[in-house]
Amino acid sequence: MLLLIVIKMTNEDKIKQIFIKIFPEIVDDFDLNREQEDYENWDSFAHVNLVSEIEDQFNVELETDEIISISSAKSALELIKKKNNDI
Amino acid sequence: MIFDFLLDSAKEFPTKTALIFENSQINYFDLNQKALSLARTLKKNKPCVVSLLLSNSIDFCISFFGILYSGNICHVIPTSISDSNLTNQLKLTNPSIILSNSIFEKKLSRINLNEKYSFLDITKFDFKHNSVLDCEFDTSSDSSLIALILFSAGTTSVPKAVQLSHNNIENTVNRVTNYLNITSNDIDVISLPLSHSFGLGCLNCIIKSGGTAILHKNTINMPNVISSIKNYQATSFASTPTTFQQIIDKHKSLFQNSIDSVRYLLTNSSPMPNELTNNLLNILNDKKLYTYYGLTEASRSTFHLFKKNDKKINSVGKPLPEVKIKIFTDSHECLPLERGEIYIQGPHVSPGYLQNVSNKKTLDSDWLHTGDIGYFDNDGYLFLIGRKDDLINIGGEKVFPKEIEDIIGSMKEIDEVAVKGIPDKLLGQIVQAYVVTKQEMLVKDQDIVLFCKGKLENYKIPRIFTYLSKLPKNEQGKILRSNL
Repeated sequence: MLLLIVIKMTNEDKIKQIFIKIFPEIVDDFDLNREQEDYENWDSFAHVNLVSEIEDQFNVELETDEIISISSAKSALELIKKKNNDI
Repeated sequence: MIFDFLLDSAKEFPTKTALIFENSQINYFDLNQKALSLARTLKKNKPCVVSLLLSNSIDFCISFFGILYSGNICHVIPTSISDSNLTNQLKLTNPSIILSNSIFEKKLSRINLNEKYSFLDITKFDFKHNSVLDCEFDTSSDSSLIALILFSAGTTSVPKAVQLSHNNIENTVNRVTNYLNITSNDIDVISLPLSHSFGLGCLNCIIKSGGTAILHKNTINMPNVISSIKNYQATSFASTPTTFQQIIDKHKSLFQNSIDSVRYLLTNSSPMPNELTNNLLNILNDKKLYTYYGLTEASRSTFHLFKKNDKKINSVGKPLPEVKIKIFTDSHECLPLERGEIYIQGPHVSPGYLQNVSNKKTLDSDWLHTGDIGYFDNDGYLFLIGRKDDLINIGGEKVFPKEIEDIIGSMKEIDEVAVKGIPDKLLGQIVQAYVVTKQEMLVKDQDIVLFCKGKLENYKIPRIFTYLSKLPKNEQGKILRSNL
C-alpha cells in the first residue's frame, strides 16, 4: 500500500525558505522581525532576487510601492496575506 | 596622492557640503578633519593593509580617506560578499585592521582566520574635532605607492586582488573629470556601491572637483533615488544598465520629470541593450549619455558619448588621452575590423596583482592583457565582442557567444539569452543556449533554430536549449557563464 504524506507548507514557511535562499547566513537565526538594515547582504541586487522569488513562489506580481515596502520577512508575509485577500 | 582630492577641496571650499546621506550631511572641512582624526589612530610605523567593509554612507568616505591619509593601503570589500570570498580576500590581504560596523562584525566573527586583526567600529569612533592638522601626515609621499586593493569582479574565474597606486587613481580621476568637465558646481547622485570601482570612481571625481555627492545606500527605493535628483538639483547620475532598465520600465515619467538639472548620465558594468540606449536618449533631449570601457586593472580607459541614431551605438568609444589600446592576436597586432584580445597601456594601469595570484601573464611588459576580445573600426572606435575565456571552439571554428546571443536575443519572444560551449565528442564543443522568454511567450527549440537559419552559420546555431526564468548574474549584472 502506498502511503502518501502531504505536508502543506504555510506562507510563513515559504517566506522563511525564500529568505534563507537569498540570505543563507541567517539559516541558524532566522527572525521574522529582523529589519533590512540588520541584514549583512540586503542590497539592491538581493532585493531584486527576493522580489523575483516571492513573485514566483506565490504567483503574484508586485507593484512598485509593494516592492519598496518589503523591509523584513514579516512585512513580506503581511504583503502576501494582503495580496491573497485582495484576490 | 588620492587624499589630495579631499585636502585641496577642504582648503578651497571648507564650508561647502561635500556629502549628503539620508538625513545627515557634512562639509569639506569637517569631512577632512574626521578623516585626519581617524588617520591618527590608524597610523602605523610601517604601511599595512586596512580593510574597509561598509555600505554607502558618510562613514565610508571618512574611513576611505582616513586610511589613505594614514599611509596605509585600503582594501575595499563589497558588502554583498559571501563568507567564503570574504575569507579568501582576508587571507590574501592579511589586514592589520578591519574598519566596519556592528552589522558586519557578525559576518566577520564567522570567518576563521589564522592571523589576528583589530576590529574598529567606525560608528563608535571618537573623532577629535578640529584638532588634527594635515602636516601631521606625510602628504608628499611617493605616488607610486600602492593605495588601494580592489578585487576584480571575475565572471569566469576566481577574483584577483588588483593593486592600484595613488598615481593610477589620480591619473584616472584627473582624466575623467576633464573629459566630463566635472566642477565644484556639480552635484552627483551616487547609488552605486562605493565598494566597487564604478561607484568609488564617481566619489573620487566629485570630491576632487569640490562638488557634492548625494549618497544612497542602494537602489531598493528607486523613486527615492530619482526624487533626490530633482530635490538636490543634481547634475549627474551614474548607474548600471539593469537600473536604467528598471527606471524605463517602471519609473519613466518620474525620471523624466526629475532630470531638468542633469547634465549627463553615465552607465557601465554590462553592455547597454540598444533599445534601452534609444529609450534613454529619447527622454534626455540635450542631456548627455555616456558609457565607458574599463576594468578594475585599468579603470575608465575609453569613453563613448551616445548620439541619437548613433551608428556607433554598440561601441565603447575611443581611448582617453594617455591611454593606449591595441588589439592583438597570438601572432600580430590587428588592423582595423580585425578581432583580437584588447591590450591596454597607460599611467592608470595597475602595477600588478597582490602576491601574483594570477597564473596568466595578464600584466606583461607594461601592456595589460585584458582577456576581452574586441576590434577597432576604421574611425578608431572600440567595439567589445566578449571574453577570451568564453570563446567557443566548434571543430576548430572560433565562435564568440555575443554573435549568437545578439541574433537569438533579437527574437521578439526572447527576453535574455546566454550561450556557451559544452563538450562534444566529435566537434570538441557545441553550442548550448540558455533562454529566458518574455512573459507568457512560448518558444520551442525549432522556432529558435529556424530564426537563426541564414543569420548564423549552421555550426553556430545552438544544438541544446535550456529554458530558465532568469540568468545567473553577478552584482554588477554581468552574466555568470560559469554558473550556467
